[in-house]
Amino acid sequence: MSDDKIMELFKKDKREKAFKALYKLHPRIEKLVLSKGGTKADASDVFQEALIILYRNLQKSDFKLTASFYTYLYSVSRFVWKDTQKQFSKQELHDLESEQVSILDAVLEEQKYRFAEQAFRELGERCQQLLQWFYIKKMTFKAIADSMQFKSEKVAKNQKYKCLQKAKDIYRTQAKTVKS
Amino acid sequence: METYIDLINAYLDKTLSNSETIALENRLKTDVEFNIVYNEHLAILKGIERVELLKDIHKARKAYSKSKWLKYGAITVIVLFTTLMVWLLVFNNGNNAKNELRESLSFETEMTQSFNVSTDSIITITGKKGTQITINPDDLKFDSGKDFEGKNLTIELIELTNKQDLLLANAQTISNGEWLVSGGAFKIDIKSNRKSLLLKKGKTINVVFPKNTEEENMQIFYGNRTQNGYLNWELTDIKLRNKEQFVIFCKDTTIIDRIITRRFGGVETYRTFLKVDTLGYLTRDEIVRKFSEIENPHNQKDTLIIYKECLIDNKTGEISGYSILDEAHITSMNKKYNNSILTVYDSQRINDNYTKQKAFYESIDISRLGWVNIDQYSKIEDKIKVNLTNNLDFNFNSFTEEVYPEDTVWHETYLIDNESNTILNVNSSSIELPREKLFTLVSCCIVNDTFYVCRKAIKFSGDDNDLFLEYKKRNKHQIKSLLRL
Repeated sequence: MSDDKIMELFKKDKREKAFKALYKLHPRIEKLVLSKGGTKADASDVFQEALIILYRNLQKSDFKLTASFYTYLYSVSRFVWKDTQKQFSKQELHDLESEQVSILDAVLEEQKYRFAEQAFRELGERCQQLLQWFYIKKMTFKAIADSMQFKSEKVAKNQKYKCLQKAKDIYRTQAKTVKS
Repeated sequence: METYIDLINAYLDKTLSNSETIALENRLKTDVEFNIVYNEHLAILKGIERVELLKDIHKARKAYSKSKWLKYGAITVIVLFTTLMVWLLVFNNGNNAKNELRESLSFETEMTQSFNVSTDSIITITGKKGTQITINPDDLKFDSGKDFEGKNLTIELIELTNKQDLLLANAQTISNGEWLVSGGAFKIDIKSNRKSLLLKKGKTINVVFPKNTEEENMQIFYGNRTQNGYLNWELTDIKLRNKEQFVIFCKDTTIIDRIITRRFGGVETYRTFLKVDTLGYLTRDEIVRKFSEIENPHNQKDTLIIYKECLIDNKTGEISGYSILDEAHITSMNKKYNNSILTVYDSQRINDNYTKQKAFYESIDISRLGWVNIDQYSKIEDKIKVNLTNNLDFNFNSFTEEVYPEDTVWHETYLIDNESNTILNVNSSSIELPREKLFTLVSCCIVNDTFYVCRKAIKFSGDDNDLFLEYKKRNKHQIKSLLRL
């Protein structure tokens, strides 16, 4: 499938199909990671991260893909892998070009979100469901209260707040641990 | 804090007014605490979103792997199939040779007559050799059991009326090992859009078969091809009766030899002998007038028999034979009958038609389509054993489907009774043949891709006999001429 068709899929919000089409590039990214001493599992994680970063950037109105999907995913994967291995030297960081800087920013930004994801996953199942319904599915508190059998919308709203706070607490703790 | 969150959510959902948006963005720049809350909240939302994204990515990876393996599977199947085909074509010529030999020896397809007919009424068709089939389309159904309701159908008819036809169509005359003498084999298939149709339970088709043998008491056998392609016939309880000829003597063409007849009282006396028909003497005009459906009285097979000249048996006074008139006699007869009698050419033509004239059996109802044979069991009882050997050194006993030993050798051997319509297959190195009876043996075989034929007339009288078959290389394309009797 051509890059244009894949881009069309993203625009039509058919991201699963777009990801499936992009998976044809996985073997080449895997080769890169393996050549850098990584395993196949590492390569799978790296490619996954690269897809998420690509998707997030495509959602931004000011982002324009100037190269092919392969070139972009290759660059992102290279930074993801280096970041994972903490291999950036000061000189390397100093010599980065502006495009590379924006990729590195995106990689570092996504790392934060990964911690948040981990924090979210540590929540109870009911909390996870409540937050997903509210933030991803954009369900109203009334619908949530009905589906989750809360007494009222207000109870649902309170419960959501509590879950969110709990996730943030975990996230903060993780962030502190990483910094220290 | 909760108010902050609602505000940030509204900002992220782009539901704030322009002024509120600007105010929030300014606050993000100036209020550090608010900025931290915003970034923390945003990170959590992105984290939640990651869970959904990862779900989609996992699904995409699975779908990609599945389609990849399906593709590999399809490629593998194609490669295996191609390899198999190549192997069959290049390395397995023996098997192909066996199938090819059998296909080459059967000319059934080119003997098939096709009739495309409309189904708006009862259908009657007549084959080239006279077989008349009457079918009610309402009596037909598909193999699935569904009633046939189409507007058109195709009737396929094969008429094998002599041993040459039987041989070319690979139609053996065997009923569970017993020899048959055939009075003709016929195949009737009815199709709709190439799908075969069957007769509904209790329904029949009406058939008038031509009579091709002097043998009487013939019976109907239904036939099926066995797994090895040979025909085997099963006796039915349907017996055939000869159809009585409706004979009309045409006055103007009943020409009697005056010289011979003089001894018996002249022409007029002869005419009394010929008054054997029910309609009496009719002129051509009378025949045409009375039987408007007869377009050409000379060619009508079952209604008009014309004697050109009758010879009377001196002792019995019965008609004993016919002779062709000479031109001078015709001319004198023409004069006598005001030129209303036939010319020599016409007379010859009538004679030709007469000799081609077919007799028929009475119509019968048959309850299944497919192969039908008019047969009787062979009455030959005095048989002697004959042992077969050959110059190619293969064993006839080996050639049965069950114990077929190798792929490189195959033969098909026919034994054809020179007198009656009996066609047999030879699959054993020891066969039993009637004493003092003449047969033609035709054997075709393939050994290591080479085509051989042996053909010879055989007749045995002793008690222990050997038959040596000397095969000679032949071109397979000449197979039809090699089967010519």
